[in-house]
Amino acid sequence: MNERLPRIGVALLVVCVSTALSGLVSAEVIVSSGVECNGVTELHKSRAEWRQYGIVNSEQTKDMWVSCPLDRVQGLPASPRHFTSALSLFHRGTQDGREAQATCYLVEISAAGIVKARSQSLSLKAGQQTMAGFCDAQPRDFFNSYAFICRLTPGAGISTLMTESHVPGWENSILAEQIGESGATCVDGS
Amino acid sequence: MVIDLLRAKTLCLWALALLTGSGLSSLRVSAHELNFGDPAVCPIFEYVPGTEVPVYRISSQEDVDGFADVVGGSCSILDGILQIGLEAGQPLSPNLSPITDLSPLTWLQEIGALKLQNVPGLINLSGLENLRGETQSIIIRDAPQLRSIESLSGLSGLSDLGHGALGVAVERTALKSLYPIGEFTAYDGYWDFVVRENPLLSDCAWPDVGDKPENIILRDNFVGCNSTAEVIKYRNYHRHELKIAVLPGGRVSLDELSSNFVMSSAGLSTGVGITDPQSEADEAEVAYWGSVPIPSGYALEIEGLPDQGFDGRPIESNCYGGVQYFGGERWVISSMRDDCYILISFDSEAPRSGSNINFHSSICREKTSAVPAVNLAHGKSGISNTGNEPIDILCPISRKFELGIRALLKRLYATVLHEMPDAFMDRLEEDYLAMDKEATDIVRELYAEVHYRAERDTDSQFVAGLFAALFNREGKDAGIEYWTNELATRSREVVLEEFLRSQEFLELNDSLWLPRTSESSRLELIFATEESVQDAPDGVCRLFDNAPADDLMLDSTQELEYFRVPTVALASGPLTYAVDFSDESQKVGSFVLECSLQAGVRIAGMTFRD
Repeated sequence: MNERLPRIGVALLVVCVSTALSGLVSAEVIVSSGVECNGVTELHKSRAEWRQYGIVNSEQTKDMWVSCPLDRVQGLPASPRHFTSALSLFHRGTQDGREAQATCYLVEISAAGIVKARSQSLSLKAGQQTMAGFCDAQPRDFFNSYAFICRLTPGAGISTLMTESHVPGWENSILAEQIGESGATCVDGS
Repeated sequence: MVIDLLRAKTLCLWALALLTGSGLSSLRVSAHELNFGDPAVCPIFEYVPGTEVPVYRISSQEDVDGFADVVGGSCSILDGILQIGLEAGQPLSPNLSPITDLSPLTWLQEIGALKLQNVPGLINLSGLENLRGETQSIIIRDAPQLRSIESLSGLSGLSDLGHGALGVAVERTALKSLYPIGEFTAYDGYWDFVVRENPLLSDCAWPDVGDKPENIILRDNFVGCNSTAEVIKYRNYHRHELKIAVLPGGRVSLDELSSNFVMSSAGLSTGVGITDPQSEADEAEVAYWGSVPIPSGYALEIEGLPDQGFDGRPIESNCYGGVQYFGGERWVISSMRDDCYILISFDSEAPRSGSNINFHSSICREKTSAVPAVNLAHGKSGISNTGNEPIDILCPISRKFELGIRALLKRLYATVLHEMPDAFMDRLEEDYLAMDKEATDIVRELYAEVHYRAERDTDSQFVAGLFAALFNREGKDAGIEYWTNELATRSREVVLEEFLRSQEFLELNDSLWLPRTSESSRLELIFATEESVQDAPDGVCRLFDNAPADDLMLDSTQELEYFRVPTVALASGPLTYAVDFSDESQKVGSFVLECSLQAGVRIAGMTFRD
């Protein structure tokens, strides 16, 4: 950019803040690494390998179940926000060259346990990475939290976790737009 | 050998003087001819090989003590390089002592250049206080005990005097601050600024040249000073008063006040520990009255008392447009503006601000479970390697992305209103985000709110604030100067409108409704040791940017930063490594830190500012 602002020929500033977009301004996306995921039991932890690109099932034959805690910004109690989340799944490849399978559940957790779950399954070729989304979930309770529980076949892994709290409606979610642009499926989280 | 020759030559001179006064006279005339006959200029005995640059070498404490006699005893100007210390690999004669004290050199008033190297016992440059005027260069290398160069404050700057390269080089010292180098002026457009491998350095302003040096090397300074942005940050601060607030539950002791500092309010006092200051003792002000800015990194030391509840939580300050974190159990406060305050918390809730995120190092884990890291201990003071072998660990670092309008509002609050973003967050939801106002109207309202036209900020501060608030960057000197000059004939309102109509703001405005994070990020890591570690290799850390991509291996993981953790240096206290980096791609991704944690080393704290 020029330090000295152009003195002529500067177009007048027009800020397009439409009424339709005004609801978006509270949206905040949190992105974290799949390194945050962990095996659900000691047995499954022993199958996990954490790398700079995430967590991966390093077993050659056995599946691995992992749990990934999700950050959620609740908003205000009087106007609780909806919750959209996504994760990026990949297949590092295996010796036998088979495709990997990943099944992930978005679970809503209350003090009493899991109250709600939605799932999505994907097939992954070696080296492939793709997103899976859960859009516009409505927390049953203001204080409930969310997590992904995933079953990963050998070579499959999770690289990135994404969450967003936003006002109701897919159209008001930054993340839903990103998921749509990537061509991934966004399961209705409600 | 060279010194021996010098000494032999001097002895011959004295012998000649005793035997034949006229003979000495003729030799001196010969030397003075090079110095245009000025008796204040010391005679020249040696030149840098292959050049016509005079050099005066001092290799031992005995040389320091006898240097005045060597050069004749009545001169005060060295028209050449003053080289103090040994050449690389040069052993010190067993009958000589290493240099520890330069105080016999107080007679020196001018030097052509300073080269200080391989002086392991030198702590400060006391003895060079009377140096005045300009010098060609200041080169300081391999002085691991050197803690202050404040004695050079009489020098005014750098200038091409024909004595070799022009510039500053500071390598492998114990300096916390480069003061007074940041106060110097420099007149040449081509000069070097090399500052590296100084484990304690935090304040690293370069001479005021109106522009940055031609050649810049800033790296492996463990505490900071590893980017030009950090250097520029320290350049223009007015440093006068510090306010220290101890949060309830805190315990703190102000160790010492350097000269020119005065405790100006009740509350903290030096040498007395404050425990749980619930009442009037929760705040204290330290004032500084000096003709020169506070020599930062030297100002005052605050020690956290041993406390069972201490969990390594950092000190926070409102400076630098955000929150500055300090780490470890002993803190040296770096240079600060006069509106800075410092918050010290132990058991209390640490203040949070904007997108600053404190992570507990327990989020780190071993890289792979194939070989279980049984020696990786998670405790309240961090994650430690309690074994005898290094352990590879990974630490996930999450990021927040928000719409550009939200980021703009935060900047306006911090820059224009000088409010902490915490207060802003409450107001944000209720006031501005519910409105359908144009961004330009919001900007105008906020500026009007502080009556900026007459009541605050100098013209240059006002212009610098416009760059920061509206463009999200620091203005270059030329740009600030241009608009400051414009304010001589135009009102601030008019200049503000110019900025709002600029192409740069128009482009930023186009992205107000896109998710983004800041273009620059800062990660601070506090490393410590459980016990003194000797002869241990350095640890190595790498920071990765991990973004979703179609192809995992090719596109998604990018190494952003690589740095060493000086294990042995940790024996003298915890060190904070700060890494500033840019993410111009604005990819929606997160970071992962990978470290080889050496035996006995602990990560005590992690802070990320986006």
